[in-house]
Amino acid sequence: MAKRWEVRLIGTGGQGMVTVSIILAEAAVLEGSNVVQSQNYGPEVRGGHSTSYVIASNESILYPKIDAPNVLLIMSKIDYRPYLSTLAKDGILIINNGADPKSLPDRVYSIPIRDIAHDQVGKPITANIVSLGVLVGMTGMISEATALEAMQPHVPAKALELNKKAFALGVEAGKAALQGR
Amino acid sequence: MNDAKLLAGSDACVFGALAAGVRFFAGYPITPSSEIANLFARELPKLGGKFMQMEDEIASMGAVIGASCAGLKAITATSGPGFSLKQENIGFAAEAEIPCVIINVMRYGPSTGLPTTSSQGDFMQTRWGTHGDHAIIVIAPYTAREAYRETGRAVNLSERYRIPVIILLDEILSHLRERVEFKEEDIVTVIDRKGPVPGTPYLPYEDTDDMIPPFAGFGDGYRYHITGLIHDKTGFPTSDPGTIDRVMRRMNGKLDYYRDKIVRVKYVDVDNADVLIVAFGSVARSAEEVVRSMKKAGKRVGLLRPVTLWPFPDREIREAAAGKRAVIVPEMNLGQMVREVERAVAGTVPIHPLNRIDGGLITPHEISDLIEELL
Repeated sequence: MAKRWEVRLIGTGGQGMVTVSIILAEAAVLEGSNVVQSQNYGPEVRGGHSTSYVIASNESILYPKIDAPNVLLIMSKIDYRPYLSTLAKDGILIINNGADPKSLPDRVYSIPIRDIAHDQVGKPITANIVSLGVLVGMTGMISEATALEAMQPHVPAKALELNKKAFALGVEAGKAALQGR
Repeated sequence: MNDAKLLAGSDACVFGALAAGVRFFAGYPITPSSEIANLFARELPKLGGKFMQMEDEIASMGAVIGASCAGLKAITATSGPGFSLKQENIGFAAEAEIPCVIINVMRYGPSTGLPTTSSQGDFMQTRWGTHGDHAIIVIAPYTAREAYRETGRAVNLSERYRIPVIILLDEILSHLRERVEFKEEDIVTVIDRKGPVPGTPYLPYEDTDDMIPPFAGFGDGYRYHITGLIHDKTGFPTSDPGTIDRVMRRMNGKLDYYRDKIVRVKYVDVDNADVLIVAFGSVARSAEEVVRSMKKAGKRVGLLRPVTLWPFPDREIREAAAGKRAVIVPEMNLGQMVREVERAVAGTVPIHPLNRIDGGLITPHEISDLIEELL
């Protein structure tokens, strides 16, 4: 792992975004990196604002928080603009909609993650795995093979193929978004 | 070998306790400690152990004491208001010298406070939460790896010295998952409590040379009395001033006698430092980050990290602080450990508290900004 990755995921409780951060963290461990993963949440069980994050680095990780993420993915239907200023200098922000890239600031990428899960995978519940694919496709912070290996224990065995498809579509969408710039 | 894994701080405590032989957990769910109860519920039955969800916090502590009297290594986990509720029974365990471990994941208080927010507001409560002079040990790990090893050590200290031990976590360490690769020094050895010598008369609170009376489990065939009243060596209450004095000095004296076996501190670049930071728990992670980053900038900053909080490592801090330009004590409270540091250093070096009480972790920047001002 060439650099220190600080990835923050913002979602709504129940979307499975904390699971995505755990999969990313486990994949980083598989690749021999140091990693810290955690989440902040309110007192609600579902429906509240949920933020999770992953720090991965070759150096040992002491300070266990993120001040300025270099990747920020927002799954919730919230205004992304207040978050722009929180990004690291080289940071990117990914939002979950089909907005025209030309209408967005430089470092903001729109990918219709939920629509991909709904229309192309056929299972809206796989949106979190699509987002995992997007993150891997855009950052390359871990290899696709390792991400799939880490994903496997977190999805039901009978839905494995479906989730692999969701992951692959996410990777493809992520790479396409980068090339769209 | 790469048997590294992703492990949560809370889970590391559970596995450390199990490795040390814990086979009983009683508790009541409370954020941010509930994950610990969850994992014990899953793991204990596999080992023939018992998990009990009790009707409340007080009963949980009572069940832990009862299980320990019956010979099992017993533990509970709680937080904030639950820790307050447990104090009376923690005092009972201290007075009756019942081995037990209490994991307290600090949450912001007082009262219901902020259930999902981090704090170090229980530093003093862990030592003085129950009334009366009593022996108690408090240990505060700062990584998941250390949480495993230190929870195992907590169980062993409690069994060996018949003193309640508190594992003090903050919400950050409890909830984070991190890469852990266990090494040889992380192996938890199992230390069992000392039992009576068969064939000799049994006195449950005998004044032995090592100050630790042998502990017969209920059901082992010995008939004796356990009480929270001050008792003589038979275990029955006494009001004889000479006996009271002797018993209380023995019970509290265990901490002094075994202090060096209990106290553990970690040093990072302390010897040549101009400024010394004293910090524990997650704040020590920020502090160590500062030591690392300021070293790269050619500045000499050291960290003394108490792993054992109580007995407080006063002698170690006094020695480490000698000749430094300043000592910085960052804490997520309004200044609790700093009082102990002041007592240890006794005016020989200027001490600067750094307190944050908005629920957020003290950042490396906040610490390094203060150091820059002082240098």
